[in-house]
Amino acid sequence: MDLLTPEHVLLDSAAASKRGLITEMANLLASIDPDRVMEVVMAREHLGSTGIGHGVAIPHGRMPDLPMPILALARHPEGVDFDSIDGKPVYIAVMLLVPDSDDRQHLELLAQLARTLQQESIRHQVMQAESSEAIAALFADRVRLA
Amino acid sequence: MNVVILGAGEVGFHIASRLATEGNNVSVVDQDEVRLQVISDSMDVKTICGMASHPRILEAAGAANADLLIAVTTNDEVNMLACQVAHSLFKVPTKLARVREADYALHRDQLIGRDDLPIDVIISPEGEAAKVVMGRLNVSSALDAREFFGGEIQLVEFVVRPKSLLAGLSLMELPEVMGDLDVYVVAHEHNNRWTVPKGNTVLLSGDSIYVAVSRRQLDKLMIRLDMACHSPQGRNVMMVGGGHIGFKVASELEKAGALVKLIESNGPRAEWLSDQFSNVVVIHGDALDQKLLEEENIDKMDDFLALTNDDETNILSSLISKRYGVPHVVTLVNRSIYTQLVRQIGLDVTVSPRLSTVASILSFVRKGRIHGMASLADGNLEVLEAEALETSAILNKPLKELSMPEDTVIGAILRDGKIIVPNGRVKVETHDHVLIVTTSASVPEVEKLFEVHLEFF
Repeated sequence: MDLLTPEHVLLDSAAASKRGLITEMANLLASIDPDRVMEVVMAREHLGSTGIGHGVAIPHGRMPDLPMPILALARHPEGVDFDSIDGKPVYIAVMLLVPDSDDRQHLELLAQLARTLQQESIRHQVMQAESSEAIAALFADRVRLA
Repeated sequence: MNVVILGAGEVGFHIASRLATEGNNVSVVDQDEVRLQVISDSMDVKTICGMASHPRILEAAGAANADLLIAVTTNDEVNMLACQVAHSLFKVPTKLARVREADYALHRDQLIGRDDLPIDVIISPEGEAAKVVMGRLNVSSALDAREFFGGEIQLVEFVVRPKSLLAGLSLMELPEVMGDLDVYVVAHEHNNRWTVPKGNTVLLSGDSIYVAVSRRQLDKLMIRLDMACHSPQGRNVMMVGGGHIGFKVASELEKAGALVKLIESNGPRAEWLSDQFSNVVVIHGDALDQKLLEEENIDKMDDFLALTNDDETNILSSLISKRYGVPHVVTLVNRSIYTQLVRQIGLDVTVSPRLSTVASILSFVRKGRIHGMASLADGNLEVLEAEALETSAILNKPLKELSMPEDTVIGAILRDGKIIVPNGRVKVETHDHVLIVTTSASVPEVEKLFEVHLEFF
């Protein structure tokens, strides 16, 4: 089963802030209370930004009632300030929410995401993709549960 | 960080100024255009004129992108409603509101929460000030005293007296003089300039210092330094001003067993006050009435607390009490312009509701897991109690090998309920609470030390 589905991809975010971007991604996830997602993800961001440079951020958090990990992606053509380690704006944000268990699996998923997005060619393909399906397909083989 | 501040009074003004200086995006809302003009003339913030709780106004202030809303208008109801609007319409994640009315505070647990009034923190400048006043009373010969680690450690300020053990001592020699007492000097004032001291700093008589010491060793320290330290029990305390702060402090003192005389100038308020207490003598009268003060034996008092909402009355009555020989005087000063002045005219112990409030609000802006915060030395130094989390840079390295930001010291570490007074060999471990004293310029670097890495969940 794919962790990132086309319904969870936002092609052209126009959010004016980090908070705005996270709110938009939270609203993509129909099955979870967006307020809770915001609360969890923003609290994690407060401890240290997940903007890892190269225009990429991987905001994440634990949601106790979640049956399995879930992903959402937002593409921001203009770039938005995310308080990243390199100080540059973020163009691609992938949100990872995990159940409240099994740390090894969470870290593995996070590592897969970071590895995937470290490749310039992937970032380029995400930015150029014409549909949500195309973006979801990019992650289908690269990020999956062991 | 995007911050919306509602209310451009003393507290709003100073928070705005502090946050703007630190590079945050700040907008300030008030109904008074003149006040807003003063603000936009003196700092780089956006100002919006209008009613703070109206959705239209909050939207114009940028609530949709705000990380933090600080509602400090003079009106409790406006503050509470603004938090509700900011929550329901704009999803602002963190909301602080000033609520003064004690009646609301009584029911705060039922009123506030996810499904009730969506306020994360109630700010009470009066409560903050009352806390600081009590801190100073508990360590009476100190100029200032603050608690951290849930009361386990105290930061105590006092003056280095001529011919005392500390006069002429360099900090490297301090352990020899202190013997089995674990103390750490975290701030040093010489010629009115506060700094974070280094090992070769020499303490001269007349300097002021802040010392971190565990609660259990505080009495011993005061004895070693030949200073008095006794609890409020049985002390004769005269207070002027029975407003929010005065009432809080008097209640605490009554509980602690002090003998309190409280002078209040407003008749109905004095009557109300006397109904609230069983062991506090409430007197309706003027704080500057010499005859009254003499009749009430001001010369026999151990402490004098000037806590009215009028700075001039507080300063003058404090000076009068000093003339009658009251050994310990605490003066409430609201306006920043007086804070500098009062030390020069011989009033050492002042409390500023504004400063203590700004400090507690800043703890929500500071990144990381902050458990406590205070500002010392008229806001020049900042004290942070931060928790070291997994993956942060401060972990597992001897302190002497850590590249600490400039003008920054670690005064104490709390690990599993035990206090560690650090030396260069100590390493910080996960979930340690670390007490750091620093300058506002170095705060971003201190935050970096505690920042977690990507893999932190």
